[in-house]
Amino acid sequence: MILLGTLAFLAAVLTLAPLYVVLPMTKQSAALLDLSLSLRPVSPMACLLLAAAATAWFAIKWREWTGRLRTAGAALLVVALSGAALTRINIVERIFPPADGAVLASIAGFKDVADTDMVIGVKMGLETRAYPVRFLAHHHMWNDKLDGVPILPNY
Amino acid sequence: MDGRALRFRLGGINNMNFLMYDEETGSWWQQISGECLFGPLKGKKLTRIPSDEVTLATWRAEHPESTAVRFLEGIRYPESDWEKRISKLPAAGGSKSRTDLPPRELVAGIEFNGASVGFPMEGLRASGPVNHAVGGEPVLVVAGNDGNSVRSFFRRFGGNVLIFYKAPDTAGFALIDEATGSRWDFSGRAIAGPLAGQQLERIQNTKDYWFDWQRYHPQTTVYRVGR
Repeated sequence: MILLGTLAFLAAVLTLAPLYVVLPMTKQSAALLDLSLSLRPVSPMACLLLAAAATAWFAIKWREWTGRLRTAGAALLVVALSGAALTRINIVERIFPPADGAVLASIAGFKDVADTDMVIGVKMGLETRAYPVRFLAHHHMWNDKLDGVPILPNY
Repeated sequence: MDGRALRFRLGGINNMNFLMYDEETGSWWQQISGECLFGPLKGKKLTRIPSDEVTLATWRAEHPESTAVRFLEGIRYPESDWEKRISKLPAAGGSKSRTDLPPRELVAGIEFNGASVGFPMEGLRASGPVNHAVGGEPVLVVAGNDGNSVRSFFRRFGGNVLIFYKAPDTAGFALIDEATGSRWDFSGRAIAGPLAGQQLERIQNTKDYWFDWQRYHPQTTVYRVGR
């Protein structure tokens, strides 16, 4: 049980650390952010190994554990497994998906947004382009090229 | 960055502002500043390009040749009034936050010569053109007729410093400069009078929430109408 608890705890830490970079409503510390970003590349693999170890250990021990002990073991197993799942998704992109595949239109008959809606307008060399704020407010950025220059309109 | 094109993805949120990473090096960047916080490119900064935040109608009238990015199908985009609704959300300040303005008040921020000034949108809408200085440089900050667009210009022109007023004789947008009486449109071009055909030079302004502006410009002052 102690082994399973440790595995679950490690999985929780490795999951929560990368989640620190998506906390929406707080002011984060620079040092913790650094730590979190450092752990991020190893978290998914580490969590997978921890989840596998936790599953194996639970499989060996669950007959021996009874009543509350078994419930506690199962709960810890769930923690370890959720860690493995959570470290594999980009939560921010789940909410604000990338605008891959967006296309351009002439502004003359452009009706996707109202005339009174705001756009971000950019002029580079000979090209001008409007990025509707409502578009950017959802995707938050779009990898684009204007007059041959790679630019990143973002919001 | 250094001759190499980077592709960015959203990856996180830091201090209520997005973090993004590039697919090429895996470095992490703060959206508002363009600064790299972590990874191989740490310490680098993306170059800011000039941009305009105006209504579709204004942009179309000034740039009929422009293209625009279309909505993707199957996505529910925020409604036109989403900015009004989001302004009611709480904002995380942190202990060092300034309380000059409510956190979610919109300002037009200008940075020049190492100085920064936030011009509350509310004031710009109410007061008409603002003749002020940032970092010792005389500037004009003016909201468009729609109340959401805002543009800023250098006021030094041909050895003089111009002072602008709202033209009293029209409900549309027109400014008049005190020295010559010329009329100016929202793009900073003189459309009538002795300076007709002349163009004021733009200075970049950033429309931002106060809590965000003050965080990245801790020395900023706030322009107050009538003070």
